[in-house]
Amino acid sequence: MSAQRSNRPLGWLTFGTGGFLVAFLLPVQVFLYGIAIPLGLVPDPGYKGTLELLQQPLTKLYLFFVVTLALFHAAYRIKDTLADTLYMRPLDTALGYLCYGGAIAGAIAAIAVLWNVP
Amino acid sequence: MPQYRQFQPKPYPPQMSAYWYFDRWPYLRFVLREASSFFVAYFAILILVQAAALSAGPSKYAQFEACMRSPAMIILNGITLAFLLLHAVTWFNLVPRVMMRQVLCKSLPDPIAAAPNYFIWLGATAIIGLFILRII
Repeated sequence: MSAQRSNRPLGWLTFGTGGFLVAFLLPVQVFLYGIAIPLGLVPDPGYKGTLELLQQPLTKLYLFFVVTLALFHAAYRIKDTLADTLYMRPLDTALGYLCYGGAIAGAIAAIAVLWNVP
Repeated sequence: MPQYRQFQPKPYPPQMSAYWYFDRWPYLRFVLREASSFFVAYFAILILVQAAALSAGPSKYAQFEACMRSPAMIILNGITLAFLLLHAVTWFNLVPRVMMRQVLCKSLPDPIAAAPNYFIWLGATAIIGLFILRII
């Protein structure tokens, strides 16, 4: 006898964990890398300083989890937002494959990018 | 002999505008909160683009930084920050409502229940900021 298990807890788990990580960790990164450093509001650590930070194994691990879980969090919400605002609820399953497929592709890209850091 | 009824049954056609989220402010607020996910995905990809540019060498990273200085990118990142703050605040205020009741089996006033989230946020922001600016 095989029990048919729902995959919804997995979606919820990654949505919830990702939601926490995004809320706690990403605003400061957007502010510094996206606004403050380009506008010169704070001193730019430059190529060398930023690369040194990226080369730390802990930074790579951190970025892998933040990027992957942020993408899975976003996949969950983007799917429902498209379904609700564009009358695409009948395409729920297809949208799910598309959004989670994108998140999985992003996770693989994250591994590839972080693996190739010199 | 015909059956008479007091009221004629009529089918109920649900009326919903395609732009239902403009009908009321709470609907719009809900859709704006959900729309934050597009900006979350954008910034997650931007992190990978930055890491790839760093790995590709100084000239590629200079190109990346020049691109980030363009007004369009500054505006896009400003909008992204606004949506991420909306996500953070709604998330922090929502979670204690669920967690306090389900985990602690009692309810606290919302500001007190949400307060730990804001302290963690402050601490995480300070630590990550110091790392990014290479002060620690």
